[in-house]
Amino acid sequence: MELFDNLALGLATAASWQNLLFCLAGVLIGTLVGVLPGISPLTTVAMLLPFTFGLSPASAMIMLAGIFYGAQYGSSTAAILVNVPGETSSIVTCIDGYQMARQGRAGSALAIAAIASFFAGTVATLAIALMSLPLAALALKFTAVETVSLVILGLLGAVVLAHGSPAKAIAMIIVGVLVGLVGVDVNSGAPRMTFGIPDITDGISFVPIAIGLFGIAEMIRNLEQPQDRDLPRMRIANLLPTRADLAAALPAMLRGTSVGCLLGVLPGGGAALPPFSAYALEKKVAADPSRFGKGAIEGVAAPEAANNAGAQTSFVPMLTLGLPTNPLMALMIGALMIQGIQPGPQVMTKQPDLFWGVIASMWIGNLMLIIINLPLIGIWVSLLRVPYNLLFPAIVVFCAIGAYSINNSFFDVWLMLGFGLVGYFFLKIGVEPAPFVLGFVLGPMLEENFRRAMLISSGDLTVFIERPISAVLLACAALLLASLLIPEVRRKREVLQDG
Amino acid sequence: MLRRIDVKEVAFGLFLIALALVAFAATARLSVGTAADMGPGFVPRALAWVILGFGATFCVTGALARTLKAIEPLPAPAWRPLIAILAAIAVFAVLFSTLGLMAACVGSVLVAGTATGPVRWGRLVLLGPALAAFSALLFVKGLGLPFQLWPSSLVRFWAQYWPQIGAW
Repeated sequence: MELFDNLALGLATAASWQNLLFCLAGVLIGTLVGVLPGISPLTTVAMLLPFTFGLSPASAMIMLAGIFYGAQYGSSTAAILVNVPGETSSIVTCIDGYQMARQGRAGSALAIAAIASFFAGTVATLAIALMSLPLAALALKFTAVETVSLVILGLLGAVVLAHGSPAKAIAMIIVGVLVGLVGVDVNSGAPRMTFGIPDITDGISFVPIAIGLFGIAEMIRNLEQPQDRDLPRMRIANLLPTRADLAAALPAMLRGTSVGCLLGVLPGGGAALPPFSAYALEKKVAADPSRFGKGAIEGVAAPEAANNAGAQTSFVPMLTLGLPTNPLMALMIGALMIQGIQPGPQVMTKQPDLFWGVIASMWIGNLMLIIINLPLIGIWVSLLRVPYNLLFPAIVVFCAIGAYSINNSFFDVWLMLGFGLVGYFFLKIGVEPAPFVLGFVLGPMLEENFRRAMLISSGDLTVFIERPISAVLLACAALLLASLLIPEVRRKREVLQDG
Repeated sequence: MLRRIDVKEVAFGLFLIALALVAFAATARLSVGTAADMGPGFVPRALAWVILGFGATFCVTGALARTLKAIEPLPAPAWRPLIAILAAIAVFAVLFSTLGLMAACVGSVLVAGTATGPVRWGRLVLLGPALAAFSALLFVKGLGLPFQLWPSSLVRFWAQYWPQIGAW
């Protein structure tokens, strides 16, 4: 039973006291930023990226992953209790969760949300273990040709499922690839587009870009809006769900988990798509859809299960193929590269403890969240009272320290400033920065493999459709693009974006 | 009828065109090579052409946008938070490279604090040193990062007259 051997290895890695500690730190930091609106897990991971340098690869990934799913957990707490979704992942939870809280069922809603998350986390862990082996086996057969097609499929998938105009997103990906090429060309040794600046001969570092685009730009936009956080005082009584609530929530959890597992693997799904889809599904299968929006327990259980399952399965393409499906996974790739690990299928064979350790840690992390956080809810809610006015100067300082520390370079701090400005410009003109980051991370790999493929085929582009795996991948990419032209899909995308 | 222009789209188009031109200028001297044996300039220049194409397209489609959907004007940037936050980062970089981390934290917090609302100087004056102390403990003592904490002249002064502190 290879599967159980792998999971056992993973559990052994994740259960070392050191990794348990980093897992705990990750989920606690994650819950904290999840509860607080205005700091996204993306910003947090970007800020903490430089400090993972000194950790072992497994500890670093375990902690960063913990921030990701911990944030979703914290976010739903804020959504239920104060109707403020900390992150996009729990916007749907607000609808019925807050209604439940107003009816005095806050405890039940919180408990169901936690149980749904844990349940989904457990199933997703198993699903990842099952999915990873065949995927990685397939990926090991890849030559440069297949790699190029795979990256193209991943990038296009990210465009189709992401928010906003697909054409603009494609343009942003290409800009990202171009910026990713800055630095010395590996084949010829010629410095490219460096403008004679020594700090970027090895390429522009990823951390200042990520912090600038996501941290700084978002902060400036948050500060535009008036800072008011009116907190109703909600008493949480009875953290145990009733038997009836549990019975109603269980099938919803199952459905939510399946939706989340599937959508999480798809590129570009991000954190918003799985819970939205799960909520829509619940409404469709419910005997009495009118209960939704008035405190239906299924409306909490299904989206919560979906967002947790989606968060975990989105690690699959990143860990097995080296393909980030959302900006956060792009940051994870960045974290691996800081550790000197080239992401790709070989991670699984060469570093099985890292791979399985991260997967097992997610299950342990979810267990920690449910055990530690339910009693701590009062503390998290009181943190909501910390004014953003005190928070953001501290974030500015930590961002700057983070950008500096990656190379001990002041140039990187200025770079972060520049990308903060550019990111703000993008936000203002309604262009998503996420595709840029995906293109930036995958750009060098794409170029290297493309040049190698062209060398093998002596400049013949048909090689990409002559090889079967590559042809299938490109056909999928073409289908994805074509699907954008179908009016039905178009409308669905718009509905999702407006929601 | 007023002719409407999607300013956001045109702005993005112009940005792309400018970027493509910069890329052309930066790769002008790199050899392009052939498809079978690409030089360092091949892929960047190809990408720059695509970006130029996208930019031109957005400029045209943006200028011809006549949908009934209300097109918002280019939203004015919120100058106050924009300048305050960017200035805070600049102050951090300058102070850190000259006077060390402690001064950088204090200065950066004071500048960043002006970004919004009525500025609460009292709080900021307390927050800066607290953050400086926290950062010093976490990053330098805890994580062992080789940051310069204090101005070098101050460190020399301490080393000479007050060795206990200098050692810390």
